[in-house]
Amino acid sequence: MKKFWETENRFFIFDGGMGTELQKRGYGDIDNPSLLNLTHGELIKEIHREYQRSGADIISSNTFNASPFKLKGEENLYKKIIKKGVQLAKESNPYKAALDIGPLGDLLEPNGTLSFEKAYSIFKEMVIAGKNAGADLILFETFSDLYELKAGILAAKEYSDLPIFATITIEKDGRTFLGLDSRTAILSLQQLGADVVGLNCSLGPREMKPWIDKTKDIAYKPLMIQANAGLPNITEHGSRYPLNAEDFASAMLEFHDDGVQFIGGCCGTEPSYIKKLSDLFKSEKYAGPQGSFKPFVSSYNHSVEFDKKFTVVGERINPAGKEHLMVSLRENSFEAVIEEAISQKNHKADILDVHLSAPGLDEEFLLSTGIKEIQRHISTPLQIDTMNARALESALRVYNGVPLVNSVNGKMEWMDTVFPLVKKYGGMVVALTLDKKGIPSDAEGRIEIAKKIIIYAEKWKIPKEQLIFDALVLTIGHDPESPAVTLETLRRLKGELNVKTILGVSNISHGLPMREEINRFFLGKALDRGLDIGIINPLDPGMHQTLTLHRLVSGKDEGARSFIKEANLLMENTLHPVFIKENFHGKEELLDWNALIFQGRKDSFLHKLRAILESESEFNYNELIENQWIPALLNLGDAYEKGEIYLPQLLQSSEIVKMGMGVIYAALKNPLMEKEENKKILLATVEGDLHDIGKNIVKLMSESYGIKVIDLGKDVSPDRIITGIEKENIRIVGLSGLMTTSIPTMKVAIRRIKERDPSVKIIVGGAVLTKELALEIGADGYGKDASQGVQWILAEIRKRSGENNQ
Amino acid sequence: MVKKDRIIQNGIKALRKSGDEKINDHGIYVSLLKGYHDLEKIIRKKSYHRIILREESEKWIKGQSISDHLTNTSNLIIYAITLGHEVDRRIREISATDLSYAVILDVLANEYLEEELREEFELWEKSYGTLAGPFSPGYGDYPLSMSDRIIHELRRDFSMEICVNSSYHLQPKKTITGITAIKTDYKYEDPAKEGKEDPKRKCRFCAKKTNCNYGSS
Repeated sequence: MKKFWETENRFFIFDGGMGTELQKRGYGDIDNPSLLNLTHGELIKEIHREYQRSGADIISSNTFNASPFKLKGEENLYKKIIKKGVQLAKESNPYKAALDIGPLGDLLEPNGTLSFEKAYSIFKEMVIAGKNAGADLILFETFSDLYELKAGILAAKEYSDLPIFATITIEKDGRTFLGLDSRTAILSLQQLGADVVGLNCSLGPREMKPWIDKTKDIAYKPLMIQANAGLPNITEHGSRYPLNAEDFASAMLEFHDDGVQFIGGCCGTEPSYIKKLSDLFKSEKYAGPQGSFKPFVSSYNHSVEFDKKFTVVGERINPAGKEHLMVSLRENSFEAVIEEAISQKNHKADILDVHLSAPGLDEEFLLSTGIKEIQRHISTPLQIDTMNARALESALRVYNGVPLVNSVNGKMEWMDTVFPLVKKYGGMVVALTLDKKGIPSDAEGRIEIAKKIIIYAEKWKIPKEQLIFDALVLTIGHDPESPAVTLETLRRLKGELNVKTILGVSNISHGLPMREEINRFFLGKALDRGLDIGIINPLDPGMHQTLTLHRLVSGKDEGARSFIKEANLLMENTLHPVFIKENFHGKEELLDWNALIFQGRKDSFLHKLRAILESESEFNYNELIENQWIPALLNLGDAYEKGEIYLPQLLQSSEIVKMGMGVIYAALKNPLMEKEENKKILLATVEGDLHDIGKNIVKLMSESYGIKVIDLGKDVSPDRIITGIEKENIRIVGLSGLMTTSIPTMKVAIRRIKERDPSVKIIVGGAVLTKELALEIGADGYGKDASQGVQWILAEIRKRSGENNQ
Repeated sequence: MVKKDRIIQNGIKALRKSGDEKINDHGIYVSLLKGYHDLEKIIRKKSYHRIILREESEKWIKGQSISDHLTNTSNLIIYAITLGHEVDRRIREISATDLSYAVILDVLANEYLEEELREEFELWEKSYGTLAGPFSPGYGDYPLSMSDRIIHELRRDFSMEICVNSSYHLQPKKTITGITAIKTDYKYEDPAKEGKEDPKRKCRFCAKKTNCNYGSS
C-alpha cells in the first residue's frame, strides 16, 4: 500500500517549537512540559491549533519528553501522557497527527548503562500507547545515538504499521554528539526501516544545508528538515534565536530541490514561521528523492561505501586453527577476540568478519556477546558470519549499525530464513553461488544461481544492490582448475549482472606451502576481474602491497601517491631493526632480559623469545619465568616504589611479560599450564563504581606473574562476586573502588564473602581507602597502589602453596 | 604557558609518584605529547550553562559547603562540560591492548577537562562579571545527586546527550557538572593557574570535617 506522501506530489509542513510557545505563555520553567498534557490540556490543544491554522499539515504530539527517565518521580505516567498527548494533537484537526518520541534520557550501552532490550521495551510501550490513541505516524526526533534509534524503529516496526520518521540532531561539523556522521545516519536509517529520514534541532537552516548537500545522493527515501531559528545566544532570559520568520522561511527554501519533502521548525520557531513556510511551499511540486541506493555497511559512527574503493574484510576472528581464540571462547572470555579485532583494525581492515562457531561452543551467545564486546572497543563495521539462524538473528538484533551478513546461498529454505531477517534488521548480504546440489563446477552454473538469488531477493524487496556475490574460492590442492572457474565467474558477475563481488581469498592456498605468496598472486588476478571486496588477512603486509601495486598499474593511483607513501614506509621499517640497540661506543649489542623488560622494549623482547623457542627443542620455560622474568618484575616494582620509574613504564613492562607468557603458552600448545588453582584470583570493581583502571592495572601485573585472573569487571554486585567465587573456587579476592560511595558496598561484599567462607582472603584498594579503613571494613589486606597490591597477592599465594605442600 | 603545555605539565604531575625534580622524563613527556594530539582529534567538547536568578536559587543551595562558597553572590550559573563519548571509547580500546598508554590518555583527558572548565570560566567572567570558583556535586556536603538536577535543568535549553546513572556517575565519563555564581566584590583567582591549592577544597574547610569517614583530617 502506498504511503500518504506517495499519493500526493507536494511538500508537507510540520509544526514548529512547542517549548517556544510554552515559554511565551509563562510555562517555560515547568519541569517536564509533557506533564501539561494531563494538567493543561486546553493550553496544549490551543498551541496545536495555532500551528494547524498557520498551515501545518502534521502536528507532533507534546510527548517529546514523555520518557520514564525524564519524568523523575512520575515515571509511571508516561503511557498516560502519551495517550493524552496524541489525543490533543488529533483534536486540533490536523491532516496527520504524529506521535513524537525523543531520546529516552539515558544512554545505551556501551556509552551508558541502559541495555538495548530495556530501551526497546520502553519504546514498545510508547509505540503501543501512541498507536492506540490514534497517531497517524511515529516521529523519532533529535536523536544522537544510532543504537537508540534502532531500538525505537524496531519497536515501531514490530508493534505498529505506522509510517516511521526518524531525525538526528547534528552539530556544525555534521556529526551528532556521539560522533555519528550525517551521511552514515541517513544511509543506516533508511536501511533500518525508517520511511522518512532527516535532521532537526541544534542548527539553523543555513548550517544544515551543507550536510543535506552531502547526503542527498544517497537519500532514496524522502528527507525531512526541522531547523531551529538559527543558532541561539544565551542570555539571562534564556536562549534567543536570531532568525525572524521571513529569514527562516527563505533559508528553508534552499532545500526545495534537495529531495526534502517534509519541512518544519524546531527551537525558536513559532506559528508565524510555519505560516511563512506554508506560503512558500504549499503550491510547489515535490520532485522526489534525489538519491539512489548505494551499497554500504556501517557501525555506530561511520560507514564504508563499496562504490568508493576496494574494501578489505579482516578474516582473523575465527577460532578455526587458532588455539588461543578457542581456549578463550571456551571460558566465555572475549579478550583474544578484542585483541584480534584491534590488531586488524590497526592494519587497515575496513570491515571485520566475525565467526565464533566451533564444536561445543554456544554460537548464539558467543556471536551476539562477541559483537557487543567488539563494538565496545572499536567502531569498525562488522561482517556477521554464521549459518545458524538463531545466532544470526541474535547478532543482527544487537549489532549497532548496518552489518554485512555472511551469508545466504541458492538453497530456498536458507533464503527463506535469511532474507526476512535482513528485511527486518537491515544489512548487506553476501550471496554464495552454491545451492542444494553443491558448488557448480563451472562459471555458468554459478551465474545461474546468482540470477536465481537476485529474483528471489526481489520478492523480499531486497534489491540486487544489497547483495554481494561470492564466486567461491576452492583450494588449488583440491582442484587445480577451480581458480580459473572462480575468476571467470567473477568476470561474468561484474560484466553480465553488474553486481558487487566478494571473495574469501585465502581459501585458494589451503594445504599448500608459500600460502601468502599464492594469496597475493590470486588477489591480483581477482582485482583484474573487478573484485570489490576481499576477505583477507590484513596483517599480511604483502596483501596491502598487492592492492597498492594494483592501483598503481591500473591507473587508479593519481601521481603514484599511495605507492610512494607505502614505499617510504617500507624502506623506513627496513632501516630500523627492532631488536638491537647501540651502546655508548656505537657498537650493537643484544640486551639481557632484565634490560629488555626494564626498558619496555616489546619488539626486541618478543624477537629474542621467539628466537629461543625456535632454536631450543627442549625449552625450559619455568627456568626463564622464575629466574629471569619474575626477578626483573620485582626489580621493576622496587624502582616504582622508589619513584625511579612511573606507572606507565611499570605497566608497559608488565604488559611485555604478559605477552611473553602468551607466546610461550601458544608455542607449547598448553594454554592452561602454569595456572594452577592456587595461582588464581578474582578481581572486581564494586557496585556503583565505574572506575576500573586501578583494577585493570592489578590484573595486568598479576597476569605478568603467571597468575590466572577472573575479572568480573566494574559495577559488580556482591551477589555476582559470591557467584564468581563459588564457580571458580576462588581463595583470593581483590576489590577496588575509587569513590567514597563505593566503601559501603565494599563492606557488604566483604561481609558476605566472609560469612560464606572466612578462609577466603580479601585485599582492597582504591583512592579513598587507607590501611585503617581497609581493616575496619573487614579486608585482610590493603594495597596503596597496584604494585603493593600484587606483592600482597604473591605473598598470599606463596603462603598457600606452602600450606598445601605441608 | 600555552594550553597544550599546561595540560601536559599537569599530566606529568598527576602521573608522578613524588617530587618536582623528576619532571624531565623524556619517555613520559613524549607519550603525553602523543596522547595530547590523539585526544585533540577525538574530543567533541560541549559546554552548556544556564543562568539561575538569585530568587530561584534556593533549590540549588543544599548544604553548608555550597552555602559558604556562594556567600556574597547574586545570580547563579549551572554548567556541564564534556569531552564527549569518543574519549571514553578510545580509552576503552587502548585499555585492551596498551594499558600504560590508556593511563596516560585517562590522566590527560582529566587535565584537558579541567583546562576547558578554566577557559569557560574566563569566557563567562567576560560576559557576566567576576565569579565564585567552580563547585561540583560531591564537594564537601554537596550531594552527588545534584548532578542529576543540573543536567535536568540544562535540558530545558539544550538537547544534550549527557546522562547521570543511578549511582550518579556522569556519562560520558569525562564530563564535569557544577555551579558558580556572579560576585561583585571578589576576583576569582584560579589556584591551579597560580600553582596554589584552593583552601576551600581542603578537608578542614569542609562542612563534613567532623563526621567524614573517608577524609584524612
